[in-house]
Amino acid sequence: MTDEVSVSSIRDVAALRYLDRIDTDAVVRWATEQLMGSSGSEGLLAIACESSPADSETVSRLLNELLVSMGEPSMDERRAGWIVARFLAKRIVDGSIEPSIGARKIWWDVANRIPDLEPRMRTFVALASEWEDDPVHRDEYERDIVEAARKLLAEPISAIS
Amino acid sequence: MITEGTASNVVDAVKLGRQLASEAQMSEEGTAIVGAGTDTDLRQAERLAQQYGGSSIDYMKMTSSSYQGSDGFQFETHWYQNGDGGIFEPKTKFPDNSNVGYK
Repeated sequence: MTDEVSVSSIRDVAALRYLDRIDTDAVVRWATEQLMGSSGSEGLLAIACESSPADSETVSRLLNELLVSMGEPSMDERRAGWIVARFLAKRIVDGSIEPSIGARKIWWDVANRIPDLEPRMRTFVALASEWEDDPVHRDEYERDIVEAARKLLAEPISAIS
Repeated sequence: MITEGTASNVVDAVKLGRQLASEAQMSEEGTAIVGAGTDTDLRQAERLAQQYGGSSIDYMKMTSSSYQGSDGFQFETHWYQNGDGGIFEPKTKFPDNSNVGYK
């Protein structure tokens, strides 16, 4: 359980849970799927064994312990916001979500929720707002959003630590 | 006991709270997000200058603070502004509820 993909996956789930963007039962289902994919660990097993409805505090604690056991920093709001922004940026760049939708999510779920991160996310707020108000230039805003997402992903995960 | 009248008063109070918040947002100084003094070009600058006067380079888009009611309802106001402080085309903005793999 040390490959980068798995660390990244756990990081994303922990950040989304920290910001209450996924519920605890979804975390338990995710842990179960990971175990079925033979990428298990004791930490994942502990999460997967939580009965439904899973206790929020317990699941969050187990997720954090799992992260720390892999040498990751403990989750806090700023870090969670940065990871969720990267989670969305990845999906904007790979085309799995529309640029305007991804930018609006970064606007409302990260920039507005975590004031400390707002200046770094302002470009997404600006482009999403203009996409809404200026239909003539939507293609250009979408290209700009993808470019902004690439720039965000080019920064290291530790950029806000 | 909650009567129909009481429920109606609660709904009216919520609406009033949102109305007051919206008006308060419009009286804020605001933060520039597009155009002059920002990293994002205002592609509508020429159109705004032709429509409302002044120089296109002075136009910018501003955002208010974000309001969140006790019921979780959120909104903020965006508007265009020129160097004279004129406010144009204010719009109320709401969160996106699209499914992107999380709620």
